Amino acid sequence: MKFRFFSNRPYMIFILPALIILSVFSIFPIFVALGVSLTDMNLIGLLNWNQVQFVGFENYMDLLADKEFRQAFFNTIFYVVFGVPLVVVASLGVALLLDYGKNKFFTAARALFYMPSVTTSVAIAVVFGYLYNNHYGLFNYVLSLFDLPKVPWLTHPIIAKISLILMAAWKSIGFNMIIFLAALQGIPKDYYEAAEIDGAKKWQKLLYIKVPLLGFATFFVASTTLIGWFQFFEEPMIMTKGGPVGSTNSIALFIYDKGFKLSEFGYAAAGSFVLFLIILALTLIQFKLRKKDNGYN
Amino acid sequence: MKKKITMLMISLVLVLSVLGGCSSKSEETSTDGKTTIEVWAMGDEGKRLSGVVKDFEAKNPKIKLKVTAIPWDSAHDKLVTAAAAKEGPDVIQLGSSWVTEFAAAGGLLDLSKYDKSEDYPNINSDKFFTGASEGSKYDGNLYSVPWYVETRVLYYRSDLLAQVGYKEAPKTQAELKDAAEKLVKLGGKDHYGIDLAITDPMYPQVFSWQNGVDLIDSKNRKANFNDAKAISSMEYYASFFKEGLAAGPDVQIDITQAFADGIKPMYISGPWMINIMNDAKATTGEFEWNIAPLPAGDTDNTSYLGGAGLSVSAYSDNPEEALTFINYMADPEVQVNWYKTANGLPAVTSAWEDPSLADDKILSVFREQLDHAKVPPMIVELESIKQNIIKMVEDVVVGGADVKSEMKKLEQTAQEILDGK
Repeated sequence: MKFRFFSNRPYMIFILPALIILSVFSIFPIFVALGVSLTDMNLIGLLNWNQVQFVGFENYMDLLADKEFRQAFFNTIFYVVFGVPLVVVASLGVALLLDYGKNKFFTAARALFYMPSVTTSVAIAVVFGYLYNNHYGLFNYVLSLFDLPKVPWLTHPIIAKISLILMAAWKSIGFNMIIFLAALQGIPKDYYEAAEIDGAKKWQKLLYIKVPLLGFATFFVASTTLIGWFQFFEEPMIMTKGGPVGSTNSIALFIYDKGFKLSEFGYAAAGSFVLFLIILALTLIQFKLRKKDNGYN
Repeated sequence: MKKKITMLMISLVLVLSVLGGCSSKSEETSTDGKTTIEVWAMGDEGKRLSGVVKDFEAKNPKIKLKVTAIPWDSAHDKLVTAAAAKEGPDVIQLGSSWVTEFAAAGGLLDLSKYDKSEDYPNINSDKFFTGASEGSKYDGNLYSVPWYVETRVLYYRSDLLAQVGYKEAPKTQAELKDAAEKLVKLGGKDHYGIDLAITDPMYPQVFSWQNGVDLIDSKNRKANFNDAKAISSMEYYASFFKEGLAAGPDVQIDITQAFADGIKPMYISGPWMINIMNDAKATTGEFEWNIAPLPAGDTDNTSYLGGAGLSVSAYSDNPEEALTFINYMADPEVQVNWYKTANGLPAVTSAWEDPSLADDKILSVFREQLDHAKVPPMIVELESIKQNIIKMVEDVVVGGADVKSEMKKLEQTAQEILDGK
């Protein structure tokens, strides 16, 4: 019978819609991208499929030789190396501090920290663009009050990267803080009570109970943040367009420029497949490391 | 249980088929015998274009016009998607670089046979500015009909220039630089002579044109960056930054503000700045400004010509009705009205005889410049070559690289791109 499969597994009916949507919109496109990345697909090819040629791994070889891609790759590594720890530590710190109290002030602070997460990146980038402006910017104005020299926030190759990281970190702290807060509140009181009986001080409770028991939350935050930073796109796209001299270009922005500005779909698909593989590999490594370390539980 | 599942599957199929129905092509001909033409226009023009619908439909009772305004940001993506689906609008507003791109891809109808035809008297490439007509052709064929044009002229602080001895605007490249030097001296610290954005590949192109060399010879598909005149033009351009006459990318002052404050007393821009300048003068106070045609190089004072034309999609089911609309938009009277509603400068030369344009002092400068304005080369590779020009200018201005060797390298890169390497 055709429906035996379903009648034996009723749960399949419930996960089927999700499965279909995931396959059609996520898994299938990955294979399409893989296919396109092996061709010289461009706008002409898109309109006349008979003009599309199979080029094997040529796009991938070109990527390796492309100075622009290499620069974007190392910029992205820079973003990840500095951005991920910053976000994890900062949101953990904020969560721990907010966990100490439950009155109105703490609730308000919680809302305040969460605010940037519900604001669109574009709006934030526009506002930060003004804050970072060399001439009218608030940051340089504050510096000038102390007779400090102007900082080229978005026009110096390295400072520009840091400016973008600070902005993106500020935006993503809110969401990750909520995750940590939820995890903190999930820690059973018994542990604290037991520790208090043993005479543990506040910092000891923090170091030996809270931090280790937040292991899974930390893992979740670290891996989603890592993926997010590898796909770093809106901030450089809006604020610097990858400049100055390509120093804030990210892999995602590189892909966008090639694919949607120059209509080199094959080349862009190769770039996005490389990005996909990098993220996949790093996430798998993280999962492996996670299995070894299971915390107190 | 089994029955329920069957019902579930049936309803699922029904839902999917309804969703599918949404994407199928809508009816082209409505019941009243009218043919519907869909027009995609970008940005502000798109919003204002709906103003002509009434007049057009009154003159062409058999055609129904449907105007869709598309934001510039998403325009390219939308056009690519529509072309890939072989669907979309009948008439599309396109700038010259997009005409090249979509014509080369086969997405646009070749309009050559309608040029100077009796059925569409306004579609006549002789009636438009030469530069605009050039910008509607790809590979010798006509793919677009000019709609409105814009060109870049010199905006200058006439009060400040008078103080340094320029009663009139600089007339040559040498005078322009001299004026910039004197303006910097007059202004003092943190003041510049002229605004030249390094991210705009227009400047190297325009200065080279003025010295009689085309950086990209589109007919012979040859890059000319290593030409002696191209190099000297580039050196001229770069010298403004090296000598502190033009601000580098680290100076982020809004041009209107900088102009009003005298920090950047000259800049090169298009007609959209007229209203902004008038507003700035009204709000920020006392300053005098004027515009002039660009200063000339060794050959002439060629400027950049932009604007947009109207193209017919290769997938349009009603190309004749689409052409009727395009013919209507190219009518001199409609062109003048379009200027009045949307400030778009007429692409049809005869429209400029209308007193509302001919008697305007500011506009007459644009009129004069339009006779000496060119479109960028109509080649598909332009966009990637432009990216390389921007990178080279950044390397020279920010990175301090040598102009000669960079131009030699750029010629190689550009030639490789042109040869399809």
